[in-house]
Amino acid sequence: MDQGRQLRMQDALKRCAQGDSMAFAEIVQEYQAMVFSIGWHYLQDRNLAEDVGQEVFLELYQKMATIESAAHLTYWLRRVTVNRCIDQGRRKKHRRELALEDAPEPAGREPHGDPLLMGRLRETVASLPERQRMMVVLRYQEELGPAEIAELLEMPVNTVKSSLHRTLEELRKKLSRKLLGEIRYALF
Amino acid sequence: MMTVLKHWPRIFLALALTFATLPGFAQPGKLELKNLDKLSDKASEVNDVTLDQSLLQLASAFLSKERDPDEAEVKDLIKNLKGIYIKSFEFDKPNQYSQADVEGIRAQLTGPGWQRIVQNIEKKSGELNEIYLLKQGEQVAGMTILVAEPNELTVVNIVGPIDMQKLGELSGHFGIPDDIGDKPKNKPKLKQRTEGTTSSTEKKEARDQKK
Amino acid sequence: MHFSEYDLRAALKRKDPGAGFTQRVMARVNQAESKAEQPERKRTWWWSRMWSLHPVLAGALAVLLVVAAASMGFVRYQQAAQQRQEAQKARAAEQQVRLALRITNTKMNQVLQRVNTQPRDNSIRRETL
Repeated sequence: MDQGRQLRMQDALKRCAQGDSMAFAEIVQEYQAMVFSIGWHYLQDRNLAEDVGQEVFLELYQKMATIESAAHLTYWLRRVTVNRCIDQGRRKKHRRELALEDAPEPAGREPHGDPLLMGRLRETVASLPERQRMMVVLRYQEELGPAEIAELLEMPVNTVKSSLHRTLEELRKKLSRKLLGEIRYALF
Repeated sequence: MMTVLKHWPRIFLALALTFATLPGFAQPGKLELKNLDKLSDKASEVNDVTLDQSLLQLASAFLSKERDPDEAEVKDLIKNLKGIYIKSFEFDKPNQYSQADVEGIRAQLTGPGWQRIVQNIEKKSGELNEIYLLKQGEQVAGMTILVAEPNELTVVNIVGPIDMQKLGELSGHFGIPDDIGDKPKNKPKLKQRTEGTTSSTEKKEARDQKK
Repeated sequence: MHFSEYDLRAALKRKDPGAGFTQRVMARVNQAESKAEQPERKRTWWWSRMWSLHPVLAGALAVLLVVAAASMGFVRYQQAAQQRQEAQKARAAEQQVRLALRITNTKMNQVLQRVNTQPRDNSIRRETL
């Protein structure tokens, strides 16, 4: 977290403790992309991601007194979001097709390269088993290292490292399978 | 007249057998795979599956939409099928089956309605891989997969409207492996039998014991 | 199919939930606060009310319920035994279906992958319609 942002959040936390609801709204605005995106990339369901996001911030409001610093706030939000996403994912029955209303956000122009590849990658990540999926999201969305991921997911660091390595292999295989599926579609 | 009445049971049987073998009366799309049974003795691994419509319906009744979404998908996949017939043989040594065995199957796939949609031939290794569809108008009414490799011969014959997309999407679900890649060279031997028949591995062991 | 870690980062870039998210959160926060201020109503279950008013009737009803449940239980036991037998047959058929689909899926993917990965040269003839 850059220093300016850290100072802003520190100040907002202080004002929240004094009962300033506008300060809480600032915190929500600052972290909503992070919380929502973890939910969205994990659950691939806009409505569920928004629900999770709202619940996380609601819980934050109720537990503001326990937040000690801006860094603690970031850690706390990630931790609670991760847990709620995993719970929500278990509740949500296994789905292999996206309903129309859950289709990805119209992203506008993809900032990088091939939009088809981006879409396929997101879908393939969403099809991974829950722990692996969350590891990938935390690694590549949040740019966390294995130690931070291990702490959030309550796993040994070495397990995270080896699992990430295996998961990338699995992602490559799954993408190949997607391609096969497209060939089947073209043929049949 | 008296002669006819005297021999009518035999005449009736002859007529019945004649009509039964006419193409129109056999189940359309079902291949005759019995000539491959002789390969069981030479194979180290045999998978022989015969699922007619009644067995498929029984299995379908057992699958539960509520218990597992995968079972719901499979239920949907097999609900209109009339049969699944598989003969799959793996051999320890190459050339345990003849070209005639393969051509006997392929000849049946030149019949009306059958279209070959995929063919891969590798002359170096002597591999032939083909997929055929049986079309009735625009509808798929059957499918056959033929895999003929030096150490393997597999024929998968599905009778009825099969959804290929749904079939492909089963990878990783319902106990179907997720991996795509070449088969491992040293797989553990597997005994898979049809109802009431003994697998080739068990026959081999029985013969060895007698010796 | 090849992709880099850079591609993954790009695919998983953070997305904003859109306009109104903050307002929706604050609305829920305010709603939760006003609910917390209302006292909770104590619930009384109907059977505890009945027990206190008519103990004899309640006792007779309880006995009737137990007897009815026991007889229904016996009938169900017999039905269950029959169903178990049917289920065994169906389970065996289901196992065969699993095997059949496993082989079919594997072989189909094997053939399609061969078609997709073989280099194009004179020794290979690929024909797709």
